[in-house]
Amino acid sequence: MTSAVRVSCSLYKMLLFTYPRDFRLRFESEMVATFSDLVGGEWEHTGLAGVARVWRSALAEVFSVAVPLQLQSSIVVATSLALLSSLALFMAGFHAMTYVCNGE
Amino acid sequence: MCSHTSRTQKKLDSLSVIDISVDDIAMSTAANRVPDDLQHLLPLTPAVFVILFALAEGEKHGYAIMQTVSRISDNQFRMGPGTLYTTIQRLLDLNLIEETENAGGQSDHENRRRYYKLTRTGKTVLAADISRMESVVRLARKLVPKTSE
Repeated sequence: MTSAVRVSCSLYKMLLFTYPRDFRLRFESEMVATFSDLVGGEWEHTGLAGVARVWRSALAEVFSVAVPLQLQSSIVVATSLALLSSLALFMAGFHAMTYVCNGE
Repeated sequence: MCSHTSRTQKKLDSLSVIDISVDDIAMSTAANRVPDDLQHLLPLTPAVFVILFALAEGEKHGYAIMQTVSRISDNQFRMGPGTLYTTIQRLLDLNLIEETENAGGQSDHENRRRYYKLTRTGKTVLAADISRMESVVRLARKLVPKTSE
């Protein structure tokens, strides 16, 4: 295994943290093994261009697969809503304070 | 079975082009053998179809499935590990595929691989979708002369 493939696999393993925990626990090692085969094959046959294509596909899957999977989890949705509402409250408070300060 | 098929064929022949819809096609004979709780899967999504199709050749691990999918689609259909394994998880949940006892190989890399194969239900669902597609092609062939007239 070349160092490029090893580095790719390590980075891909980190990328898998965007997937839900249950899914990761079940398929992580398989996905890394498959990704390693994919990158190894592309590196051998098409070089850097092939590896770049595999990475583009893997990154696109974060948005097309991992994010929708995460959104199926009610905990993630609740946490996101709580963060967004906190942010909205903070912004509203900040805006109000700016308005009061400018008025004085 | 044979008389049922010919009855369906007569029914299809008697329909005018306007009467034919995708729903009619989906209700073809093979689809009737699919369990009621799996009828909603038809027509299969491209990812589900190609994975079931790849496993129709025999048990395979993830990378072998991807290679087969690439081969049978003439490199037109490519999927990454994310799409592959979320689809595999769904197919396992639906009992369309199952993990086999194949222990992989001696190396650590081989041991991380898991092998999957079609279940009886998976074969039925795949056959039903292929039958549905055959109906589509049959109807399309009837339709072409009518539109060219």
